[in-house]
Amino acid sequence: MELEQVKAAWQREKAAYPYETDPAKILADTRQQAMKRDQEFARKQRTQIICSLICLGLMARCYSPHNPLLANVGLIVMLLGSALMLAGSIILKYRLRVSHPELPRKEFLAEQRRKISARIALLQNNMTWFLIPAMLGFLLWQVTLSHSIQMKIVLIILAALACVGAFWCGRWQIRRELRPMLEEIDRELDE
Amino acid sequence: MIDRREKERLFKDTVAKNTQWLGVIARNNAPRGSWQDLEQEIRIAFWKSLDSYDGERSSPNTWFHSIARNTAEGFQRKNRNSRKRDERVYPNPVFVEQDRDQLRIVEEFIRTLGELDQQVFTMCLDDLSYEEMSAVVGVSEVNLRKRMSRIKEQFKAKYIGR
Repeated sequence: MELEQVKAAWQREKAAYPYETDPAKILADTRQQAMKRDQEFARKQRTQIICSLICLGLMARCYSPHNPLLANVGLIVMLLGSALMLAGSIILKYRLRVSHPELPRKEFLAEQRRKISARIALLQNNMTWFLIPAMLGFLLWQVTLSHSIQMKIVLIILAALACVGAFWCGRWQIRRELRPMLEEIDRELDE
Repeated sequence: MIDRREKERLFKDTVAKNTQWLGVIARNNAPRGSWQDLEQEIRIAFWKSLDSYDGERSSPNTWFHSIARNTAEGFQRKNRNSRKRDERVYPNPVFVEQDRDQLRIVEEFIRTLGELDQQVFTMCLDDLSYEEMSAVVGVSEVNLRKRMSRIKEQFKAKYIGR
């Protein structure tokens, strides 16, 4: 058994791997795929913005000067919290969209690190500053308007469950997905 | 910013020069079912980045190699969980029957190597020059030569004459 024999076997195996070799075809395909991705990104962003505006608009319609002051304050706090969370997520997606893989490895890794840190910061901000106030606003709004004690209890339980669920999802994403990536990048940067 | 025709010309030339090399990068960094996805990722990243290519800082080849390496590493990070080590070694399930023993040996040997050595060894099998290897792994040519000679010694000690 010689290294050259092994090399030849490897080469034969490689030859069986189908390469697309026509540069014009590759160019057309790549250009089309790149365009498709841009369109898909724009479509998703548009859908998210439109859906968010519709939801916020529908909730804003619940505002009435005849409602008790506490209910209106709750509604406004909830709307503000939700709007800020949505705006933050949409803006971050635009900001993180551009990537520079042509940079030297370390600089590119640093760029990736900044992106992941920004996602973590957004999730933490949402969970700390916007989610809880938005839920409290929702509670204030609904509990003030509802007349039965049972309904108030159910609403409080539902809001608490939703809050815990959203909080847990955010923390899970940070712990399971983002932090390991960040640690891996840090290790690569240290190498 | 370069004009559209120049961008297309650069893309075609560079991709044509690096077609096989791109395959190696894909095989080294993605599980079997995702090679073409990674190749496409790299080509799209290269195509998009050509808008900011000025031709002064580096040649299109070096530019392409940096993009390929960074994109492949990013792809690997994202797909870490689905990546299966075995699939990196037998890229084609229908390999030539008489090559089975040799490829088994390659697999066995590659398993004993560290990650960087695995990459270097597979690139040696793919007949890449030290210059090309250096661009892929980001290690100097001198270092690569030493590393390769050590790997060859290990291979000889284990398999030559067996």
